[in-house]
Amino acid sequence: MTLALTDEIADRFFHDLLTSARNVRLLAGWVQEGIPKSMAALPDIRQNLIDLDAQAGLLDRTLRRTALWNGMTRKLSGTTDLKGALIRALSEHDLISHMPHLPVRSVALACPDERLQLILAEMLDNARIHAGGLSELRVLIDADRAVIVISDEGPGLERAEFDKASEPFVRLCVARSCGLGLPLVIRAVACQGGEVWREAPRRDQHGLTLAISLPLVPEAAA
Amino acid sequence: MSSAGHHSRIPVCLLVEDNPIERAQITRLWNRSERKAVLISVPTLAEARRLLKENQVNLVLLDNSLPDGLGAEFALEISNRKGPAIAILSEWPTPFMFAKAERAGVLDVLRKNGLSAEQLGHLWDRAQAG
Repeated sequence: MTLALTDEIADRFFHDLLTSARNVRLLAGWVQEGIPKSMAALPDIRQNLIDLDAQAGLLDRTLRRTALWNGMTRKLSGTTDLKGALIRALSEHDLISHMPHLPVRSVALACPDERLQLILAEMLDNARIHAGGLSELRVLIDADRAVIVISDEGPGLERAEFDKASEPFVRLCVARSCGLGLPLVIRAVACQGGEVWREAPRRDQHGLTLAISLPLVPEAAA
Repeated sequence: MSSAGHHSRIPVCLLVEDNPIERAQITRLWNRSERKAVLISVPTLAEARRLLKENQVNLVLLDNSLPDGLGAEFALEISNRKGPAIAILSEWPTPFMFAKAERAGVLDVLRKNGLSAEQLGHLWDRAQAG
């Protein structure tokens, strides 16, 4: 399946981008002309510029991720040490202090670092940016696969919502999401012969718990 | 939101726009157009629906992208009965929107960028002329 920005999706992005741009333009005009009587005070122009940058960034990320998705058609060869990869990903996302004692030993995953970092980045970004932060990271090692489990502090997703968010370009309630994070994780993991699933929340838990499995390099080959 | 109840004999233009900056700008242009009508603004289609049920409105100015739906679809919804004239305001009018607007028999689709008091005044005159 090849992703393309359909007219409907492009309309959504351009509407948000143009609305932000227009707000800045109107505010700049009001600085010269005076604030309309119906406004108590001039809204914060800096905040509107930040919004404009954010919208432009979102469109840029969406186009880049769409290209990434379209280029992700096959399994990549290469191996990565899981522990080292997790340390790099957590450091990259300023989350290493949350996990001073990584619950994992060194094992070789049948996945090149570039692709593993993409998968971990999407999972960690989702927790950090859109879901209130990372609450737990667990790693389970089986005979032939490693399971990485990431829980966040967000409101969580019901099963049906999770299925919906697995489809490209579906944004649930996250205004500044391009709707490609989870679909990219699913596609990248599937290309490497793994699986992605949502763990049912424990009674004391409210966030989303996302689990992925990736095959280990067979011991004889490692 | 202003109440339209006490303006029942004054012609009413209803603006449906969720962006407060845009609302202030359109209100400013409306006031400059110097038409003898009151402009009432609401941020959602739900409020517009309620207001249209309770009050006589002569012209509806509809933003297309609203928190609870699309202006072009709302235009189709309210065009089914004898109702007010409708115009759609958009920063990004698409062919889909024009198609829906045409089906709903809207008076005009106007771009927000460059919208003037004269255009709004002219729109109001067309709405009054039927």
